[in-house]
Amino acid sequence: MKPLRNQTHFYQNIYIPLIIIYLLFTVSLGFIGFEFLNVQYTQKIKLLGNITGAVLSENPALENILVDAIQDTEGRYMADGFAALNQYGYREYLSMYEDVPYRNSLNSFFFLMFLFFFFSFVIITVFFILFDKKRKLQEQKLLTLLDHCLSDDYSFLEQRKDMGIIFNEAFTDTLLKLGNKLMLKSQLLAEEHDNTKSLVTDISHQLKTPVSALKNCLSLSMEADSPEERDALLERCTLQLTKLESLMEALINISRLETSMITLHKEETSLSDILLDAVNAVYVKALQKNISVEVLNDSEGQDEALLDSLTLSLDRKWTVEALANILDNAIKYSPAKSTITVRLHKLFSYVHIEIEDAGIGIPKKEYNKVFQRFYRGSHPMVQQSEGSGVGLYLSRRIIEGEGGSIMVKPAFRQGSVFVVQLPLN
Amino acid sequence: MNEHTNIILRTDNLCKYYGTGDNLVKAVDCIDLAIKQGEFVSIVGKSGSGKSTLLHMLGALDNPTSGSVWLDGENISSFKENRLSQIRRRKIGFIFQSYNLIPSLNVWENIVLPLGLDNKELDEPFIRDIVKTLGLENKVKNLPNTLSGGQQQRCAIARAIAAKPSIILADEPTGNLDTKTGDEVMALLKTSAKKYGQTLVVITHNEEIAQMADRTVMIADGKVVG
Repeated sequence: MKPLRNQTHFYQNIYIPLIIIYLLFTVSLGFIGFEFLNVQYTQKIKLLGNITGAVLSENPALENILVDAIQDTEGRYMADGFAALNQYGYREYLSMYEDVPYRNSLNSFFFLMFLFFFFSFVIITVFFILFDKKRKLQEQKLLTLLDHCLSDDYSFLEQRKDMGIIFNEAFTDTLLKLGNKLMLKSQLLAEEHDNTKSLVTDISHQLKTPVSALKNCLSLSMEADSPEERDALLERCTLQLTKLESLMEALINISRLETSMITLHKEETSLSDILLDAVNAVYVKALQKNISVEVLNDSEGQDEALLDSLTLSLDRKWTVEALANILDNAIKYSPAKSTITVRLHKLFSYVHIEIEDAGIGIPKKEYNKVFQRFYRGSHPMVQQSEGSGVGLYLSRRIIEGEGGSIMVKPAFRQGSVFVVQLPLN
Repeated sequence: MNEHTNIILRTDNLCKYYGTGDNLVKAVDCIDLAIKQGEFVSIVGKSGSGKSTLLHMLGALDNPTSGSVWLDGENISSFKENRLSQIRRRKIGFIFQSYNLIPSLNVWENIVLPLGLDNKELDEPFIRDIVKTLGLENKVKNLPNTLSGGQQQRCAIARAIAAKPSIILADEPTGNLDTKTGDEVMALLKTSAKKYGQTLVVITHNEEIAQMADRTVMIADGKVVG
């Protein structure tokens, strides 16, 4: 189905004018035919008047018989009349064409008929030639455009005006949309490529510092003056190694996610299992700081029971990792003996999980940045503590990859609330 | 492939002034914006900062005092009203704070209404998919007044996406919703815009919601401040 506007375009510019021209031709043809008949009729009447006048001027007594003959429809006197007229070349069935005045009128009538045909022919032919030309032009343009698309040249997207002349608007819109979509896809590919490159750069940069620290530490320990000093330095080396190890682990996770080497395998998983695993993963750290983690079911009514037995279609291992990262941060930046509250709420399309801590909080300006790769907060406590700035980034990648969302809000008193929404089935 | 080819919406020196002399109010004061295709941009500002006026001009609902708005490479600020209404129908999906659903039409009819106005063929599988994504399958026969606020807004999102517009403009989409429902609607809006490859511009005063966006534009006193 064509959009309405195109149809009106067709009707207004082509169909209606053609109909009007045709109507004009037909009307004028009818008018000319009428005129032709009218002229003949007048001539006949005049002839009749002339004959009647001629006969009556010679013999007025014949008036009765003349009237009788005029009103007679059966042609009683016709045979006698033609018998007399035959001598002058008039026959009963004389062809119209042999009568000179008739012939002239007929000729002009036929000429007009021919003109009418000729003009119709010319108009229709011209119309079809133009139409065909436009169609060919459209085909040609479309082919060039598709060729451009194939060779990744999207400069036609900026030549909307040129396209508007050849194609109608709806067609232009759709073509441009198609072009835009293709361009976006190829740009996305290019971006992914760039992303991989910058990932490699980022990783090598991240590894440089701990490796050179380790190297320094080792060379110092080799030149140590006393066994005690050497032991102390070696201990520092071990510390650096542990750091390096955890960094490596995080980087491996990231690069796997980034390069799509691991895909999220969605399976039916119980929400409470995921939460339990996530809390268990940070249990030791929480215990060390004497921080308690509370999980509250915030739903009301029947949702409350539903939430306990709720199964979601998620990748269990990675979702646990994502939530554990958030909890790990919460523990890291919260004071000892505080409480971390996890509140669950079942919504229509998502499970709404709030993870609230009483920690240092995040300034509003950094809300967007904390989820960026290798970003570390500006707070002195963040700067001093260990970490590589990958945890929340990884969490976001995983949760968004599963069709969920993650964001941070300020807590009511102090600290932050991370809101994770996981999609329901 | 140059940078500016995938700019879908651009403003040049866009201004909107009200009043004259001492009463002159510069609601929008020389704003230059460029929004890329597929991007999710949030425009954040306090009430009275000019963000709604800006959105109305981006959506061809209002004429600028000076400057221009370019959508899909066309300067829409120079168009006549009936071409503008075509552009609004075909290229822009609107989502408002107050949902703006038609009360006498059911959910399905509300969603397909703009398509009917444009005499477009109904891509039914596509619309069914949107309806499913937004969790409205069981509500298609309902009238808007039987739905919760969150459901009504989801219906408005479906309506905005159904016409496959070039850009979706949302004005305080969560303004009438409680926090949790607001979070949910934003997540759905973001997910569905990504899923259907649409550009999304959300106006809000809520900075927490803004962080879901790829990019945030801060507006104060009619100017871009960051």
